[in-house]
Amino acid sequence: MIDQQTDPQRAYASPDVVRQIGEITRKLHDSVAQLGLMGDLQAATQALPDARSRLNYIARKTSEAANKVLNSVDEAKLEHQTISATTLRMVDELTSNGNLSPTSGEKLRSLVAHVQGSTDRIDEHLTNIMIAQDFHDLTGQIVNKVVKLADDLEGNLVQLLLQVAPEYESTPVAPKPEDLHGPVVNPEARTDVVSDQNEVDDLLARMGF
Amino acid sequence: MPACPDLRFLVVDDFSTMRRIVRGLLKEMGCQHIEEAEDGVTALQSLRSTRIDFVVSDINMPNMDGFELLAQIKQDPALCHIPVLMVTAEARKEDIVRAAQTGAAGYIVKPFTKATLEEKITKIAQKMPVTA
Repeated sequence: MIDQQTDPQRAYASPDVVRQIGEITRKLHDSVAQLGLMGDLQAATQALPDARSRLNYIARKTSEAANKVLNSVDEAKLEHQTISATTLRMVDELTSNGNLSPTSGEKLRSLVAHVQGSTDRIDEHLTNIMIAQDFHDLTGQIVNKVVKLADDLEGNLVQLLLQVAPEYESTPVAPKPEDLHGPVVNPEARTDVVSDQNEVDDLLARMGF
Repeated sequence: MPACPDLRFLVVDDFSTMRRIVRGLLKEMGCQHIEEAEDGVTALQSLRSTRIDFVVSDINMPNMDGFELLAQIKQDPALCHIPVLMVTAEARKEDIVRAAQTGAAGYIVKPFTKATLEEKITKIAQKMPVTA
């Protein structure tokens, strides 16, 4: 048999604790009702999915941007390698056939060394650009944590609403006009927006433009 | 000087961007063989099915985090010789201590530079036994 003093769950759920929680809940209910906060509480609860959706939009867009940059860096590094190898081959071709005087050959090698120095520095810049894309990982981790926080908060607020207003139903609160501005973060969930330029063109075409 | 032309690397990170960055840097260091995994679970699968000489792992990952992966590697007699370099945004001292106590070969805090990654990998690789 488990003794109440040795079982933490039973100890915390003592009648006194339950009574105190009931009192706090009743006070909270009365306060929310007296202060007329039901509407605000409901609006806050319903605003959280939108906030979460916007954060996911940021995560998606930063990921796409970082990958575009990495793709371009990969391409540029390949081009750099080609330029570097071709330049060296060109010097070998020109100097090995005896087409150039020793002085001209030396001058050409000096110019090519200059070009090689520049392309090496360009490669270093490309590497720095590549490493700088770690912003996606770093900001993404923060965004994920905030999304998780919003999830938990939403769950708690819904529980609170059910406690203080058992008749609570998730009736949508009309968004404020300013909330509708800016990029559309979840076009697939809306019928009042377009998701890409093709849809804009289709719409305009249907209107005769 | 490339420190790792023959070593087979496994880069573990849930962010594909970071995997690409580490892969790119390893390639610049002359490393030819680079595998990727997105969490500890898939990393262990790779480790048990492919020859891997060196693991570069994040800590915060879904399914199985970097600490658990590190612990599993160090508890497995077939894998415990593989050095694990942690590359993470976790900068808390307790995390660094925990990684060291669990058997990490090194610890890099993001954001990092190419020079830092190269230095740590070279240092760890120099301590690895030479295989035929």
